[in-house]
Amino acid sequence: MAEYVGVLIMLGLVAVPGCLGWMLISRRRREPGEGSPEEPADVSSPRPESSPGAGSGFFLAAAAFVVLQAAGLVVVAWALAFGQLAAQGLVEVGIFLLPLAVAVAYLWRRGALDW
Amino acid sequence: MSPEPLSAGLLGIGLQAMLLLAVVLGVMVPGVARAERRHAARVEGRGASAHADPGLGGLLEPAARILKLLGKRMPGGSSGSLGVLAPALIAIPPLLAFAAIPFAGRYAVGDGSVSLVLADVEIGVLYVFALAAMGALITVWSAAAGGGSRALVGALRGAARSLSGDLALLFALLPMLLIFGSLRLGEMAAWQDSTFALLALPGALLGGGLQVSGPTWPAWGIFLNPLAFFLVLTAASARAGLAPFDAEYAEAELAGGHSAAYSGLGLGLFALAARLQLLVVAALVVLIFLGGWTLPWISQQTLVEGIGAYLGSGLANVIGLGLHLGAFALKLALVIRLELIIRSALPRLGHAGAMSLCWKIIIPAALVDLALTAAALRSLAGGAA
Repeated sequence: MAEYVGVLIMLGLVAVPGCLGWMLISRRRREPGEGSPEEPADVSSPRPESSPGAGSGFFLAAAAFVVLQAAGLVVVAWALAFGQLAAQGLVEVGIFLLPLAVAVAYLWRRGALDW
Repeated sequence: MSPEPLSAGLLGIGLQAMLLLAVVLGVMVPGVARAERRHAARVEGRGASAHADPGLGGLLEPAARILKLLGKRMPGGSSGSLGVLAPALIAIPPLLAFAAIPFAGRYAVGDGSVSLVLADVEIGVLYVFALAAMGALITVWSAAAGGGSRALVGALRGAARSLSGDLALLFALLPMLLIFGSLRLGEMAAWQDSTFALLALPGALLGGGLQVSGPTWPAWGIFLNPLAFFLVLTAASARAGLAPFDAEYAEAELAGGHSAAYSGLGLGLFALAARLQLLVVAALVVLIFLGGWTLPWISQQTLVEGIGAYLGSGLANVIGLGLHLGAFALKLALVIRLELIIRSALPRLGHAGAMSLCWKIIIPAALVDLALTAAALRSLAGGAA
């Protein structure tokens, strides 16, 4: 934990004065009233213009990201220990990655990776 | 046993943190801004005006711009505490990332040692990844500032692009983790402080064992695994929203994207965050693929012993620190110049193109590279045995 002391000190030097200073500056420099900077014509189309399925695309990307990121971190642990592992470790991580590769291929085939 | 660090107290660490912030915000960011202006002028076939470079060759321009922006009013449409705070928060993660970036190695000075890294965290690269993910979250917060539907679409697309680039970067870095065996950025750079016989590598991979023959080459990551270099550079650019992955900053298409609700100093802070991201990406590339602060063909031990034979060990370490710091700065400048050339040469990718590049090209190529690298390392280990 001692190695993170510098990070905490730097966070205190940056975050606290930065946020307080920004709150003060933005409060003094804010123009009064009125609403969104959007053009009035935008009121007629309040929904974001998007191709069909764009909403679900964000969800699919997020779900795939969570799963693959967790798997990737497991592979990071294997990569760091690679020097101590024999060929057996190579085979085991191959067995671990194979279902993930199949899952990515399935997503690709079903069009979940198309935007 | 390595000498104890000289400044282990809180006061010493605090002074180091302030020095780091001063260097990053006072030297590196203005340097990048100046390089951007000069590069844009060169590409557009015009000379950079001397009148547009106030003081110190243009390094004071960001400070002058901040003073100008302080005098501007901001629209009253921003609402919600998160949306108001987003400009202040957006620059914090990349600034914190610099705490784990080593600008040089460790040098014996007097009875102690000096190390140019504020926090040599064990999870170095993953620490930088985590901070980048926070940047994506703050981007979504900025859409809550009342920018409307366009800002929301821009923010969601930016977050999706950033997370996809993050995943692609993780897989693209795995082969280098196999080679270095460590997540610490300092250990990655120090590992590259040696040479290898490039021409003997094919024979070694085919089971002939490692034989140092022929001309030696710096054991930098770009020579050991050039495919990983291109994949990491592309994925890191996608994660940070650098060109050509900066579609949400296309003013003509999305009116500024997630930053549509901001002007004045708020918009300036988003621009500051973008430049800090560029510096973080460039520093990562230098540390992982260009040997960090190391000099080609001259290891730190050779350098210090060679100079020390004439000038003594203490002065040799100080000179070595200066040379290594200069080498790091030079390599950083080269990578930033490469990024600027890419920005001006390549057309901007749309959101669909950026996502497809990450998911359908970088990740599969990274997995193939991982398999090839693992097989190559296993073959080299078998030949050495």
